[in-house]
Amino acid sequence: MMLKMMTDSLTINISLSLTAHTQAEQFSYHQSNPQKAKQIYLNTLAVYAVNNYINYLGWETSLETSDSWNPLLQSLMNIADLDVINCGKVECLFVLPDQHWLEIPAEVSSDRIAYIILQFHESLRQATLLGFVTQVPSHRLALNQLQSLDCLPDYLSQLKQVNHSETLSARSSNVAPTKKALLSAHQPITTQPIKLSRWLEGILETDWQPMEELLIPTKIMAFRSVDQLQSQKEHLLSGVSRFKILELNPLLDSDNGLPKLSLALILNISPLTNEEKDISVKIYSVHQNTYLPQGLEVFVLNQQEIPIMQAQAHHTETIEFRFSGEEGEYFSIKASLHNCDRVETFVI
Amino acid sequence: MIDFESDQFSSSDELLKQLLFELQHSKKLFSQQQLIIARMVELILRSRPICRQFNGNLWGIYQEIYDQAKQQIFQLITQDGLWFNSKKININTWKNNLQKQAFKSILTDAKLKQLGLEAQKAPPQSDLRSYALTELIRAIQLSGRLCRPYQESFTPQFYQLLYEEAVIITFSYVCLRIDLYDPERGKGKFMNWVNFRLEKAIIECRRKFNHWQTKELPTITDLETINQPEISPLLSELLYKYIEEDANQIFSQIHIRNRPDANFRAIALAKFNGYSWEEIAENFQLTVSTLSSFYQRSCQKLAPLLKQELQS
Repeated sequence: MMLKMMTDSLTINISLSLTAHTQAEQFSYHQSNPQKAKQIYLNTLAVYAVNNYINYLGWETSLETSDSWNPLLQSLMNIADLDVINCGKVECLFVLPDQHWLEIPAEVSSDRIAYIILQFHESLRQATLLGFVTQVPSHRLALNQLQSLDCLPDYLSQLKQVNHSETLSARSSNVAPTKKALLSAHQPITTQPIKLSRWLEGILETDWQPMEELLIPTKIMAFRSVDQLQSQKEHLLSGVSRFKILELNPLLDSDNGLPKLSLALILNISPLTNEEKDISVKIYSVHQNTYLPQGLEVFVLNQQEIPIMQAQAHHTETIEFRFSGEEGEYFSIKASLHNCDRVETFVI
Repeated sequence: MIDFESDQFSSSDELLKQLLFELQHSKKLFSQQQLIIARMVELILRSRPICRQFNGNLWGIYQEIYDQAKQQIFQLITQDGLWFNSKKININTWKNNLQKQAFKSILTDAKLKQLGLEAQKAPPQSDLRSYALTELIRAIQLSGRLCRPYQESFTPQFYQLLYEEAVIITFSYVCLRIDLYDPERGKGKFMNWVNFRLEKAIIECRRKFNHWQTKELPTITDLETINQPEISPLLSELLYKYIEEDANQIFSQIHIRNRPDANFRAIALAKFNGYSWEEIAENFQLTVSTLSSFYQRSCQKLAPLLKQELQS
């Protein structure tokens, strides 16, 4: 009965109708150069299609604060950004029908949270959303190298968590605090970064469990070898260790109906000096297979989401990072396999 | 509007075709037939637009709809599958039609309401919310329960445009404002909430887009010969002139470090005159990325000033 778990991927087409074309026409009317007018027309449609798609996923957008909606910046640049509220800007890149490569305009900003790629139909009544990438590629991008849009909602909500923690302090005085408070009241606790120094005070988090739980065989089925872990536990004993099970669900696997991959993320914090803390991060595979999944990449990111450490699994049992940081510093652990990511954000 | 038909001819379609042929052409015991049909149902539902898995799981209302769809399609094949000519049929169309037929009959207002409440329950801006909204929107479309009001007041072409736009507006509303849905109102019907918005959207669109009544939306080919209106001067011309004159010596003062010649004015004018980044880079003996990122930052910096000067 494995078969019923399989699903084919679907093509996502977004309609381009009167609002999109009216806006595109208005913007293009500002240009004397016909090629530039065409570029602006198509960029506007691209931004509009992505705008609708992101709205359909339940995310508010703001065209007014997007540079692509500013006729002056349109005139100066080849730009198609879209501001996703609470998240950041995405860039909307298009290809024409029958095109298999995407040429990246030189002035595409490299700091977008994502680059969403779509293909226009000849009629311009519809666009097919092809996928996205999170890093700006140089010059050209083959359309078969895109990440599936199935991963986009997860990616956006992870990003929001990061942004949320950054703006935490600035939030009180700014716009519409009631609405923000209302929204955050709906959020599960995990959307906030995990405060590691609280662990040292003995405070428990819902998702992060003490190491003892991991050693009870019934709790986590088939955790590899209790003995092995026991020795790891000794090693980690100074300070406080907690673990969380991360479900990595690469598209490849969900499409083939394979079981999802569970990883145990173990984090230890121990005080070095008053302000400075020693952090150790370890990753194991939870299931019987002794090795971590081939190709799994793990990153330690700083507050700006720039990788400061990284490792890739090849016949690897465990990946470990050790570093130190001061109280109040943010970092994230990102585990990535087959273009599917899990990110956990912490504040020391 | 999202269109979500699976248009890829996958290997499961080939297998489906074989099974259909087997079902029709070989004498089988009843129980064997049942097994073949069950296998076909699962293949057909692989490309299902709704009750798709979330992180490998299916639960609650989604599982319920999936189970009913299985039953429905099983019955449909049992009734009709044995009789038509399997060689002539396009298997993909057949498959999509079976899905449509099944989902249409399953997706009652009560089901849509449950899907709506499920979306409401998921935390805003979570991947679960996105999943639930995608399911909801697709289910609304499959249910055939969207109204088509005022159809007789317009030409079919213009109505089609208006309707498409109104559906886009309605779906954005449903997805962004699902928290406003009150199950007690609208006589308890979920689609009353949706259709009320759709009807309003058609009226709004009619007012806003009346000028499209007499012209068609352009295709890509049409854009080659786009007719610029005879307004002059155009904003792009004003901008060019303003940067070229540079009356306050602002644009030529902003330059790449130690390279007063590679200034904003020079680069912007080169861009306006149709030079490519490669050509401009070669001219200044700088890399494209140095130039373009400098230019990008400068544009951002100058945007408020330009806006003040040119758009007031």
